[in-house]
Amino acid sequence: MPLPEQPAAADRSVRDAVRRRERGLRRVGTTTRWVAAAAVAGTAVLGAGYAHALPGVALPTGSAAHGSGTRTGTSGGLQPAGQAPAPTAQAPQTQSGAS
Amino acid sequence: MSTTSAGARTAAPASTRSAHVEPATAVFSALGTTAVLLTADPARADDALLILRAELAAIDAACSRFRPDSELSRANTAADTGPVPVSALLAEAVEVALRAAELTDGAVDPTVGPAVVALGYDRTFAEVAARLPENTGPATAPRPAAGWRTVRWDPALRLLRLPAGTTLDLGATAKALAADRAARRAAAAVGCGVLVNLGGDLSAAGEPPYGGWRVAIADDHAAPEGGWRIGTAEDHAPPCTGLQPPTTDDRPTPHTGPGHPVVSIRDGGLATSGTTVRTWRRGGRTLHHIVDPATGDVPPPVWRTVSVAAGSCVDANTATTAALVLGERAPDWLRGTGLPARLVRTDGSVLSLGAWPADGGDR
Repeated sequence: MPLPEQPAAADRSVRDAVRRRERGLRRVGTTTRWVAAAAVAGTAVLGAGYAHALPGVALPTGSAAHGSGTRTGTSGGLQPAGQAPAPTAQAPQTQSGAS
Repeated sequence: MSTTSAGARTAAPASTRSAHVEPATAVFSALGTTAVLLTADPARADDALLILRAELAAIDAACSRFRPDSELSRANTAADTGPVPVSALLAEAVEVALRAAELTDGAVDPTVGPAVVALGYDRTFAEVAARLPENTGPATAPRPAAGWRTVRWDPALRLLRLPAGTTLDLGATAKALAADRAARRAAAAVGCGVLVNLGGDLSAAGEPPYGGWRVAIADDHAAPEGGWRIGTAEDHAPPCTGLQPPTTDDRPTPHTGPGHPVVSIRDGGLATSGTTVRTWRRGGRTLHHIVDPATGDVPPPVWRTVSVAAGSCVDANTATTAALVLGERAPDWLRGTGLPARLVRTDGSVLSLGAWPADGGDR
């Protein structure tokens, strides 16, 4: 009497197939979202890098700088000489004045 | 007296006058003013002079606002057209100028260029001074500077962007930078002390001669009454070109003038700025090249001359220029910097600040 069992087996087989298909669809969806996110992030990073590197491309206001990264004296202000001027009675070798 | 192979007029070391060898001196015209090179070891003077000349030529090509082919002129012309890539040398000059502006809270501002032009200093000073009749022209309304904060500068990529209507005038800071760079490079190359004096702004590097470098302080860098006389300033004599026999008028002539102090320095920079030398007449007024960026006009006359010693010529020049702009506020500001300074009021009275020696202190 196999006939009564055939519909039940067929149902299980269909349900298994549906579950497998849904798992596959979820995997594909997850993978698609990860790929999309990575593409967006990569595009942003590369775009910013090229925008910064190409002359003639406007820089965002916040990224421009006044002065330089090598302005070592800025934080300490104007730097003194190792020794202050000393008076001398000897004849000068040169002269400082306005020009 | 001797002449170097590079064509500048030089004074021979005065070894017969002193137990210590005096430095060799070379004098020539450059950057619209007088350049003086002192080399502690006279045997290395020619090499040091070659380095100085190369440095001055490079600075002029990069930073001159009077040369249409200079890199700065091209950048100024490109204002409001997008970022302009600049050379390493112009980048350094821009950074020095912006640093000066920041440290002086805008009293020394490289965007003062249009203001200076509006006042009539729109060509080399020799041409401004030669204008007829009597340098007079219609007075132009003062034009305040756009302000150094409007300059967009990317130091990593060396990109300079100027807003519309803004031009940079690197003027004094570029000249001081040239003195610092040349002195450092020359001293390192020739292995002895070197002092570079560009129109009264000095930078010393390397081991100085015995007793230090002796510098007369005067209102005018080329004035004979300061105790050191030259005859080769660009506005007064033709520039040196090629080998020339020395003349007595070219010789640095030490003679101590009354009332003009002489100081010795060992390193760093010493600068003097004033309002009595680079002057012209316009609209019935006597104008000069020190301009207050906030007003676009010459500052009220408080100080005639300001001298400052610092760790570099750039810092010294920044302080002297700021002091003239700040006027009565200058003493307090200079005290805050801790730099030795000598200020001469328009009436001739002298104020010494910090470790600057009193006039006549060792006479």
